Amino acid sequence: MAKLQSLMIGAIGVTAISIGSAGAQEKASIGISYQNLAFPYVAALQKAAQNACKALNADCIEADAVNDTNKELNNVQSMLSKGIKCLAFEAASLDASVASIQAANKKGVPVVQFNGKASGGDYVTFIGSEQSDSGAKLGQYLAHLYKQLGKDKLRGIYLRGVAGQITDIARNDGVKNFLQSAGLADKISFTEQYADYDRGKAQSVTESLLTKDKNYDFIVANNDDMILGALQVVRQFNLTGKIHMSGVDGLPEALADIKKGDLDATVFQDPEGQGGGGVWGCYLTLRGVKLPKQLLIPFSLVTKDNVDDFVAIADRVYVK
Amino acid sequence: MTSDAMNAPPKPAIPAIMALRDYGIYLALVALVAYFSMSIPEFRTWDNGLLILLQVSVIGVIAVGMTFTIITAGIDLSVGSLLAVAGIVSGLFAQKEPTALNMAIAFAAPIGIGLLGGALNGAIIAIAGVNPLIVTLGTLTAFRGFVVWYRVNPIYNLRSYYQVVGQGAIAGLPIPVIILVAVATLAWISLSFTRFGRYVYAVGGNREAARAAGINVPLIIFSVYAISGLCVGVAALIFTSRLMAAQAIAGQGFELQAIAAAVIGGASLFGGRGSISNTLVGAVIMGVLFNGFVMLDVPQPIQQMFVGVIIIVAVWVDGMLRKRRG
Repeated sequence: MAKLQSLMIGAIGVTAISIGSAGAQEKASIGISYQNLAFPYVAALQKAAQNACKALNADCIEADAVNDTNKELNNVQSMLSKGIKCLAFEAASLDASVASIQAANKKGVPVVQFNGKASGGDYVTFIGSEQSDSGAKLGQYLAHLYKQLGKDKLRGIYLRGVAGQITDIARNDGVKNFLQSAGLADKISFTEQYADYDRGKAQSVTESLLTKDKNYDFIVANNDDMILGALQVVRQFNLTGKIHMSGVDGLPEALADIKKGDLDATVFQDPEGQGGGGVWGCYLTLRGVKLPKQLLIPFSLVTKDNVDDFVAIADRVYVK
Repeated sequence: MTSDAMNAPPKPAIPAIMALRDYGIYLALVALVAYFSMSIPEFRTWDNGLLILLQVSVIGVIAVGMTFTIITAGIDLSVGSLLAVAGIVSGLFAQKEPTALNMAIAFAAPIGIGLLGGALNGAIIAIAGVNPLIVTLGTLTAFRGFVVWYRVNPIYNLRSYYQVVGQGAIAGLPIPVIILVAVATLAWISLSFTRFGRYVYAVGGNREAARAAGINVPLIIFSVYAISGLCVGVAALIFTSRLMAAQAIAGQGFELQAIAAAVIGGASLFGGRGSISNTLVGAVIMGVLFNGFVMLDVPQPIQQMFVGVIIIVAVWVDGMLRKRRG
């Protein structure tokens, strides 16, 4: 985040100079394609993108693929025919979204990808995060917990997302690889169950697991929704504080529970950097700034100590 | 129960098969419970029994309503989306200052919205005569679109009084379980012992004959979708109160689970056949499978596969037993 910001600030400086020299320029016309606005995180990306459009005084047209790559392609084509000068693109699918990027390529419209990246097509830059990094941060939390509890071995529940889905696999790899390299792979054991990133399902899974055995040291989840579902069960079973918990995302609700002390941690994924970054990337490209092929926005581990830093960002983008 | 029950007198060897047809699903449930009880000591506890019923309560209540529509040869695909709408509105009021009015709305609004949404489905299907599959597929999309547009972020920090419905208990029985039993009992009485119930079966068994017999078919069709919506509203209240949070993405896929419960329970998608008690057993079978499999650390994809196989086997065995009878 900090790295991206400084890069952008630098770029703005360059832009200001070039604008100054070029005199009055026309407004940047940017098309933004989102994966699925029914997800709160994507809605937050949208809010951040809209804020960036306003700040840059750019003309932005938005479209929602609703997780359907056919619709995505139709949206992109109609934005292209409306004459957008740059496409900020959040791929709905690794392979099937390539068609949309190629459609823009054919018209010579530059593409800036954010959050989700497709496997092909020509693009200027990708602004997003390495999902295995979020898993590594979760692993870092567990390593810290291991030290803190001072037990020889820890047992926990790991709530996974959707079986076979890319982000879920990457986060799982991140956790396991981190623990492996920290020499904790045989010290920390998991009972794993998929709960589809769904709060209700995570609640039911946790109920069944804790009814069988209440002696778990921790619960971690591949998103905040699931950890919040599990938290309801932990509260109901009067195990708050005894079972340590962390999720991934940084939803305002999770941040509030960290402040309260009911959740230990979450891994913050930065919608402002990603969604705002997509628009910024387009803006700078249109102003002739050459961007690196990839701008990675790191995840951050949020605990009680630093939660206030993130509440401000979350309040800006998780609205409505 | 249905028209074919009347025109096919049972033959001597038939009672055993008929019993198997009507009660086979109970045998399946007993077998599953026995298997898990032997494999997992923690499964065979009173607390876990109650937990399974608690976990089944939301889908169970929806499946009761679904049974009405299926008996009339209809279907209600909009239940999950309608649940999200009702839940969000309930959550909005449960978040406010706990005045008597806000509390009353938090509890009553989801039920009212459920009824309204169901009535909307029913009106389009009965009056405009559009296929229920199409209508409720449309409202599935429309309700979801509405609620995501209206409020995409979860509603949380609900006031503590609100958790009584989903997390409270009376005499050791979780309130959702009591609600499920109450809803199912009312539904069972109205289907088995009232004129309305007989009409519902008649409309599903043979619509033309029902019309000729003077039954107001559109009114019956309208009513079953209103009932389905009402059940969804009750389920939305339980669901939201259990999670103490309301979400626009809540309830995705609930329609399939509710339909599965009814079909495992022997309801026919061609209409005229289905019963509340069997639907409940169907729902409980799915709940037992979920709970037992999670305790046995069976991964979810394998669980899904198993439920799929059970649905097919249930319908296949049911069909075979019926054919042999005729």
